[in-house]
Amino acid sequence: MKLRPFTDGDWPQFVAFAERHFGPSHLTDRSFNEHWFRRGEWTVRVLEDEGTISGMMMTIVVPAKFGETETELAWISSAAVERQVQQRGGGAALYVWAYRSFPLVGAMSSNEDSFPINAVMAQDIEGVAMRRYVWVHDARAERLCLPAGRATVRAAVRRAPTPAGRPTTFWTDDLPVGYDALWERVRTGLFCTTERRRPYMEWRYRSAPHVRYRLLGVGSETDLHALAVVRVQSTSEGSVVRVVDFIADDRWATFAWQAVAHEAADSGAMFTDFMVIGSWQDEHLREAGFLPADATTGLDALPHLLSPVEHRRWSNTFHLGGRLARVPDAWRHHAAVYFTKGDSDRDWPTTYDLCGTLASRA
Amino acid sequence: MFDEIAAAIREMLTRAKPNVMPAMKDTDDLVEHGVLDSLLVVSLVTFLEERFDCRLDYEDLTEENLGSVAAMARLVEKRVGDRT
Repeated sequence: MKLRPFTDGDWPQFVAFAERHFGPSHLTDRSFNEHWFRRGEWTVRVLEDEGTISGMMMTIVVPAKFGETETELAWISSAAVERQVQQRGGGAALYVWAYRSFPLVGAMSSNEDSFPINAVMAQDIEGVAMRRYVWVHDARAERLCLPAGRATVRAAVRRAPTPAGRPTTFWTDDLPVGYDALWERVRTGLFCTTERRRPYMEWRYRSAPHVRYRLLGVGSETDLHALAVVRVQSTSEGSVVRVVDFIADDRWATFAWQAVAHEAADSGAMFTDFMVIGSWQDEHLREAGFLPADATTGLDALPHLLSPVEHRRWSNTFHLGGRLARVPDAWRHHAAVYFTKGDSDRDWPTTYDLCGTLASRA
Repeated sequence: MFDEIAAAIREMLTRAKPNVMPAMKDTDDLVEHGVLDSLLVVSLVTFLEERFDCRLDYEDLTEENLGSVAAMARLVEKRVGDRT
């Protein structure tokens, strides 16, 4: 049993392995993997057992900011190991490799298999979990829910008012010229976050395969106050606006959230949502009129829309490990950390999206 | 040192697998008896590193090194030695 880097020659075996463990999915799409798991070298490790791939660990490596340090953060993405190899320490070797190889390692919303391992290898900070905010625009949203949650979702429908007497909002496909200055202003207030400079944003949102993102700016092309990255996700019942990233000057953040909700409602979306780790935007979201989608509101009835199991419950956990995470205490506070659905692999195309892509190609 | 490390490993494995470990010798094959899984190995690594102030890397986690309590103890003893 040998742990080694993934190579191009592994591709046919990798596809067979991935299909065996995950079923038909985007993971067997070469261009998808090239985009997410190759930054020069592949960021995938495989376990080879007598010439056969018997395990894999896929990490997404992104630039990160940790205090004043500019570094790298590896998100633990897909991992799978054949059962007989698990009993020989293979899975452990893959996790130890990931947590020991990068300065920062993040794990978002672990499942029942990976949660205990992340809990041992990394830190789960009190109050720093993944949370979701929603604005329900249309009662059609209830059709996505299980019967028990439908009435609550229906009752939460609210009109998103037009934000008045404020700066211009505009839609664009390209990062505005003023984005760089906006991010430089915003990043100083965040301790532990993805370094959202232009090259990262272009890679993450402009050239991502399968998913199209649109940008809603507040201010002007050159004097940008806020930017929301939005994915319009199609479902069988209608569209949903998913804010996957959000960067704003504090004084314009509430307005920007209202503008997002208003634009989403105008476009006919059933609801708008935003998933976030860290409390930086909490006050603005609530002030704007977004509601937490949790047990207190009952709006956790709205599914996360991550195929194939639409009503799967997420653990909503966040673990941070790696050598940097062990040292200072400054980041261990909910206001110091900021990650969104656009980070990690929480925003991959769903089977529904892929079927649409394939149908349009046919 | 070896005995102290082996005792610590045995203690932890016994806590995790109380139905299997008491009957096993330090040289018995842990894989064959189905004692190990990924979580237990990861837990052992962090526990042993902390307890004996040493560093184990993924390359140490081979079947040979994890095969028995005695093999693990030898590995940890070696890594403790590397430290000095």
